[in-house]
Amino acid sequence: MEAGTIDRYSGAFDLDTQKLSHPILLMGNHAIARGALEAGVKVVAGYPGTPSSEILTYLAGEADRRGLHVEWSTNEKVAYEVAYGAALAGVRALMTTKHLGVNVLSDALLVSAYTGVNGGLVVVTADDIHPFSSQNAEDTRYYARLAKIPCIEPTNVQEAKDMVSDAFTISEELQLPVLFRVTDRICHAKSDAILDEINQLNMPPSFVKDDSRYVMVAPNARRRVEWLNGQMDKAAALSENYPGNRVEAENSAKVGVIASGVTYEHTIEALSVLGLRDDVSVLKLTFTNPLPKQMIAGFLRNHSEVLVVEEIEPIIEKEVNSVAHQLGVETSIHGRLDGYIPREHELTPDRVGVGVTRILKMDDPSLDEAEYKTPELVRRIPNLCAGCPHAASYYALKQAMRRVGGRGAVTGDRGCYNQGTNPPLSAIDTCVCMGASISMASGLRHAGVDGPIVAVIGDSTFFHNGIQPLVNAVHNTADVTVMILDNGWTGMTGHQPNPNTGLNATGKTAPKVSIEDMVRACGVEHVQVVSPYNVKETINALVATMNHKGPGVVISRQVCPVQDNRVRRRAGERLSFTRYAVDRDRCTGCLYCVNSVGCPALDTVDGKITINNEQCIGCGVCAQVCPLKAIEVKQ
Amino acid sequence: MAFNIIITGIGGQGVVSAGTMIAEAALAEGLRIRSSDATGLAQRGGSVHSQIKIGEQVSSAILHTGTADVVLGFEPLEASRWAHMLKRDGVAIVNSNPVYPVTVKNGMLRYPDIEEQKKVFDERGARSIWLDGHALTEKIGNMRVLNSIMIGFTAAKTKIPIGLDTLRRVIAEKVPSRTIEVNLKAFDMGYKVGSEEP
Repeated sequence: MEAGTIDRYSGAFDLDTQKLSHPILLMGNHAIARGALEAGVKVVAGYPGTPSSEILTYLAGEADRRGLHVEWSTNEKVAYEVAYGAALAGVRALMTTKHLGVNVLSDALLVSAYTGVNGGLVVVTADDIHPFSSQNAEDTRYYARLAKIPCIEPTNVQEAKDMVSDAFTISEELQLPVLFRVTDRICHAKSDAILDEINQLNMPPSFVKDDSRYVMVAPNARRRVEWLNGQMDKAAALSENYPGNRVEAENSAKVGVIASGVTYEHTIEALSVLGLRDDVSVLKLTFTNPLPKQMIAGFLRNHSEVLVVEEIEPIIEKEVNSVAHQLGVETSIHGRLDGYIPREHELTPDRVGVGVTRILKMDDPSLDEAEYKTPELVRRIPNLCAGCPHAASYYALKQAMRRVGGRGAVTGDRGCYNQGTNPPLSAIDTCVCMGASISMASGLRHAGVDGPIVAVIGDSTFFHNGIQPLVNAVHNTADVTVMILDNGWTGMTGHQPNPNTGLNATGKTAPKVSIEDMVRACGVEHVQVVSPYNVKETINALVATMNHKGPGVVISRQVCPVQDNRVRRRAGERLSFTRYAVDRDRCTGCLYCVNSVGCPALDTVDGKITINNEQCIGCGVCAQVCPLKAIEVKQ
Repeated sequence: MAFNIIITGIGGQGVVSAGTMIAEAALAEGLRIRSSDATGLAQRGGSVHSQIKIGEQVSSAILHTGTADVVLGFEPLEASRWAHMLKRDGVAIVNSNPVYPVTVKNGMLRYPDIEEQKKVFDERGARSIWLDGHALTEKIGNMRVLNSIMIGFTAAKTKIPIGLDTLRRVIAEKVPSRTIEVNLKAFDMGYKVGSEEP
């Protein structure tokens, strides 16, 4: 992998040097990547998104020597279609995404289930179920039901590796894509794990024409839905016999827990901490669509009360209720539906323990407020890094809006730059999904909102889903300003390359797709390119664009300094920065710089500003904004 | 029984790599591991923590409340946040040098004073040991070795089931080759300071 694009987790290492059958420390995302290699994957595509990104980053590093095609695609739908195309050609293909990307790819997913696949196709969806760093917490397992495809949910890092192979086998046996669903505590977990051999599969690519199967016009679709339903009947039989679905810790207890995915390990931990291992039995589920209904029925019959735990919606719980109803089983079923498990946020051993102890009518120690109270302490609000060009862009944007006048609005998008919502910047008014900034700005304008309406969107996000809304703004003459915050990388997810970086996923030079050419090709005539480190120039460009009638674009271009410095350091360059200092006689401690740029390199000592040279990268923005000209280049 | 650790601090302090080194060392001792990292976003300076369980039998990458043997805090506020996870006889080892968020610097929020934070641990009945990590990194002459100092200090102060030689060997394996010497020096200093103090 090219030096600049290595992921930010320190667990990366060359797995080949490790002896098989000897446990190694493995991160969940690397386990999934390794599992794909062991299964003989040939084509891999994805779009970065926490907590999924390291899977593809790792495989990109393996691409050349193992003869794989690995790509960061422009968005998840594109990535899915690339992988799906490869699977139609009979090779094994993997697609990686975070949960929100499944929404984007769902259009293709639902129809591809009708055609089915030839080589195995596994979609890894990494669900940020709390959420820790996402706009929502959604349960992508609904998509397995919507598309009618199998779903696998490993319970730990070892299974995350092992079950990728299973998922490919299941996919080929049923000719269906498989949803491989993991959550934060697998992706970013590390555990001891044992590796297996990497397989070189002999699956020569061939695409055999079959229009009745691959051309989804309605008459073909009507035939294929019958086929699909039949495949899911076969899948149900596979689920009953899947070794990853089994009753663990069988005992004579009258109380049981049905647990899927990571919640299985939380359950074992909770029962161990509470000393209840012999008092509660556990049914572990990892093949969760379709569910093994016979197995569940047997478990229900053996227990008078059952708790269902899963991340994050009560999907299995509802289906277990339905099984109980169909079979006339009297077992009481508890979980999220009746409040035994909290409805929102990540499950933990504590939360599973509370549900179990409530059934057993005993006191859970974690309910003891005095003993287990979480300290109430001030939150550390995330902010942009020292010298972040986005912070400078936001400063210029706020100044320009003030100058043009009127309230207006700033629609935000998805990337590092949505930290601009936090104080002291408080610069954006919305953040919903990739590309929405431009279309929402258009909607606000068409609704009649006056004043400057500005969409801010990053370079990677622009290529992901920002082009169509821009064409739309031109086509429908929306009088909006689009500010493209171009830092050259997909920053927030750990600095992956995008079409604007000039590198591809494997670190090779790739054609750089020009944002300004693309913007002009969308039909935008008013286009300006500025550096946000030049504050005056950026304010002027924004004012001119806001005053321009019709859609206009300002490309605020400055490479991400965190990544740029990393790349240069790795290339052996000795970095030196322009040093700034504060004239303490002139500084009055007005805090204008801290409040308007929010740079972490600005410290306050005895009521006045000092510059933290360990953090400062010498961008000079604070010196330009200081009303007293108290910040100067240190000679 | 597992030995459970929470390492906590802010992005850039080496929290995750400290966790990885401890986990690798535990693996070298033939123990099993469950751990998870929460690094938040890519931006620098955000809250970061790593939860690690090591032992003959371990389950779940998240600790149950009240089961941490050690909270290893690289920053006071980030350490205090996790006080409730400590066992009654657990110990917090805290670098006493605060890193102030921008919202504290501009007066929007108040950073709790150290005495207030110590009380959080006292109220829990847990021991907290505070050390001036900044002064120690200055003595070494390298600001980036805080994690090796903290691991050395932990080795001296707790019953972490990993041998000193194993910890030293794993540190030497995991840090960049040009910093092996300075990191081992930091580890040894942390261990020495930890052994001297009561």
